[in-house]
Amino acid sequence: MKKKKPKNNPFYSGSGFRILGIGKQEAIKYFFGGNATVAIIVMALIIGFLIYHSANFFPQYRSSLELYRKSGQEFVDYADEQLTAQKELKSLSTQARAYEIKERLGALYDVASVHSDFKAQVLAEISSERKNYKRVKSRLDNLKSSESPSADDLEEAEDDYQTARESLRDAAQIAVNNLDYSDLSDSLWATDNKYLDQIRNSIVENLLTGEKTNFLKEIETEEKKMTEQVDSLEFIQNLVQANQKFSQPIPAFERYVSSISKVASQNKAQAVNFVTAKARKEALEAKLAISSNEEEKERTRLEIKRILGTEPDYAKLNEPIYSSLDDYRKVAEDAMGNNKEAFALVPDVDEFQSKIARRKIDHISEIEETIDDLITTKREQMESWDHSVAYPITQAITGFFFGTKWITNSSWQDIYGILPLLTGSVAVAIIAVLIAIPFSVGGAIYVNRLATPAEQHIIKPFIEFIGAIPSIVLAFFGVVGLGTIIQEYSQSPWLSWIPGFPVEGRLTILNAGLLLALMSVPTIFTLCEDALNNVPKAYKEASLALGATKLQTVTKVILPSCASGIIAAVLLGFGRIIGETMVVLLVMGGRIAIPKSVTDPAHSMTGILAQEIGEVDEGSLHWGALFMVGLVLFVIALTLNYISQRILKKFTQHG
Amino acid sequence: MNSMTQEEPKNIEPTANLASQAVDLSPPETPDAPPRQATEQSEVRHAETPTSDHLLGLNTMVEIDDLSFSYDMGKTNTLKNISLNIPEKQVTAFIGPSGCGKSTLIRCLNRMNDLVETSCITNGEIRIMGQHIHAKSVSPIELRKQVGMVFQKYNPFPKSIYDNVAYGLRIQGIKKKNLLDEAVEKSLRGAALWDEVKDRLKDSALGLSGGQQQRLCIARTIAVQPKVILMDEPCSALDPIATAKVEELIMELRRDFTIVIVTHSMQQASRISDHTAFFYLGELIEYGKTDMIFSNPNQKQTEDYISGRFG
Repeated sequence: MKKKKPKNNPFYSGSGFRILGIGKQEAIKYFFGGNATVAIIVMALIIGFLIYHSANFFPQYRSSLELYRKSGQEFVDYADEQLTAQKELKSLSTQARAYEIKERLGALYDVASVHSDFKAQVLAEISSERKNYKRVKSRLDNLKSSESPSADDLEEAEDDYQTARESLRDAAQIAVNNLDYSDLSDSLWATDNKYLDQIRNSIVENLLTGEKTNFLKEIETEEKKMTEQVDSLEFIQNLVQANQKFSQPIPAFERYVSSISKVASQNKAQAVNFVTAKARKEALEAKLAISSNEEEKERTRLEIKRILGTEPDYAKLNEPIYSSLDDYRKVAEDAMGNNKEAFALVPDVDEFQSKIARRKIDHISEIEETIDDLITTKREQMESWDHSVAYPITQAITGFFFGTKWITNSSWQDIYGILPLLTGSVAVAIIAVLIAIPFSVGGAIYVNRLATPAEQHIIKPFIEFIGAIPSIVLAFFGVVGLGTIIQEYSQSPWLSWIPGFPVEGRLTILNAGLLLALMSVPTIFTLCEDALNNVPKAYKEASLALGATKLQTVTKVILPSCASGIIAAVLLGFGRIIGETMVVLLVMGGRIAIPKSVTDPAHSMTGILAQEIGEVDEGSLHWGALFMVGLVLFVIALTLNYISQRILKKFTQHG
Repeated sequence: MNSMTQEEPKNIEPTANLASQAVDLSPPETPDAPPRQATEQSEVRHAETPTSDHLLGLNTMVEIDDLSFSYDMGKTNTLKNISLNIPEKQVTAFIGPSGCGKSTLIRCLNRMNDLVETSCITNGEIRIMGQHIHAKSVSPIELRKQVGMVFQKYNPFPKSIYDNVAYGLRIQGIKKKNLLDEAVEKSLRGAALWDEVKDRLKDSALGLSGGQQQRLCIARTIAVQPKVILMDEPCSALDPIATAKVEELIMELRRDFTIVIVTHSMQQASRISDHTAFFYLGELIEYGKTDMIFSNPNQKQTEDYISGRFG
């Protein structure tokens, strides 16, 4: 229908181009509005998807844990935890002695390792000479052992042998003289220059004779002598005795745990069989309902009949477990008694020279404080344990959020506790942010307020460029470069005041934290600069006009008036780090345990998702657990984002 | 600072003073120091322009001597050979159409133009209390403590009223609470704001009305006890009632401070100023007693502008 121009309307605009009654302006409006709507819908879909896949997790986890209780595995784990603590005491005391000996022996302790490492390197260098020597030697030996060697041949072979031997010796000498302590494959070995020449000579000698050299023998006897000397120290003797006391109850305890765990495993197998049978039956019945073939129907009916539908008698199955309590009391008492004597024998920390040994002793005293409580609470739990008590869903939920174990694909029982992953993620993010704040905020202040334009043109692109480095490249650098650097430098005595130093492994929270700090610098820097730019220019002018210096202006006026913007920037940086995957997966070491210090390895929520999501069955318990982790991660990121938006909003209102 | 206080600016002969300055303070190679020749030329011009009669018997606070100024490294001059003396404890108004350079000139007086990277003095010099202010030995920080400034748009810091006024003293290192309290009260009374805000000193300054905020800015400026207060169109963002209050305040302040005010309002200039300088296209056209300028200007351009024929 064509509209006519109204006669009396001087402001009429021609309708122009229209499709389905929609004009050009409206079409553009709908296009952009549509785009915005799609973004919102996608967001909602993602949330829905996460919730959909994780919704079933808690009920599923609860029934899994109920089976765990019914089959008696819960009881076994109570006992097993005590055994683990006991074993740790043993291992810690063993390690403390070993580290102390290594420390006291110094370079002597590692001479044998250095020797074999150098030898391997020399062998690679002189392989052709060695082959030649072997060939010539075997010819000579053959000649010698033959019935009637001609004198000429023998002499010639003898000559050849001598030349080959000479050339081998020369080559080995040259190769070995080129080696230095800096060529060692493990830089943590203690070295001493007084051994260097002896080691070199010994390697040459060993290559020619093929026998253990006198030098090595001497070193061995000396090492033995020194070790005995260290062992004869009173506190080491005490430590050894304590170690024996710690070890003593372990075999009986182990026998006990393995006997009841056998029972529990069998119970579990039956329980699982029953549970899956139910599901299988349902599946077959569904098949029966849709099948049209008579013969097939008959077969399915038979199959259904064959499936055992009665629940196992758990009370009867768990009888051996209940009756084992007396055995348990015996081993537990034995352990407690031995531990009491052992703790009295554990020497004072100050006796030890090795820092790592001291750490182990500290750890022992930590356990000393808790182990009695552990044993008593576990004993109470075991005594009051009842397989038939229903497993409440609240316990499944708290078990997930506050559980300290994440055990998957276990033949025993899968346990999903998010705490080790959460602490790993949060710890690394906090470290990264703490390291990044001075660089990014300071950098932003400098570039925005104090630098000359020339400096700005250099610094800004460089910092923003950091954001362009792919995280896998950074992770690679962390594994290959930074880890080794941290580990090596942490050995130096003047850094030993830092908690956690010297670092034992290359892949640690600290290492990942440093890389993540680097990654978050551009984010925080850019947002901080925005915040600084938002400060009205008038503040700066007013401050300068009052006789303030540039620095006073920045610290007294500019920073306070954009503090909320900077806090928001830091929070967003934190969110960015918590969601980062590649670096934490590769660099943090992947140990699923609550880290005790920043130099421990740990795992993260993002890391576990990336690592495990590819290998789980859809809809399984593990699958649900991973989606739950994803949901937690999402909620954390969302909260951080929300808080920083709120702070920013407040800031812009007052600014 | 020392040199400023030592040389009391009483009837200084420009040439003699300049010569001593050039030797003592500013090395000849600095671009700020004008070549000798240029000064001689300006003296010739001085005689021609009828600017100094109305200043007889008054102490000079600021001497602007043949000043040319450029925002683009000397390619074009925004100010062209300006010479004028500003008397002590008087109100001097700069008027002229937009872009005539009056704001630029006022910002030269406390070296706020230093913030513009490409700005430079191409000729002449400014002396405040006898001291050549672009000399190398002069710190702009110390200069700005003596030459305060109030801006066109009121700009209190997002802090409390008290902290705003105390800011200038705090950055000078004054921390004693009783000293600060005293100075804040004195300054707020001086800015005629004390009675309005004495009960809410800890409240945010941004909660005040526009006129109050501008008076707070004035209080903040006088808290550091400058010799000169520069006002760059202080009332342009205020309504007539707030303007009246600020004008009243300026009349009070002229007892203790030398005030230089840039204004677009000719009524304002005629109401509050003792002397008026008219600028046009970067040049000083006429400078004289305010009533003379408004009643009987010497130059045709001035008369045209004042009577509203252009600008």
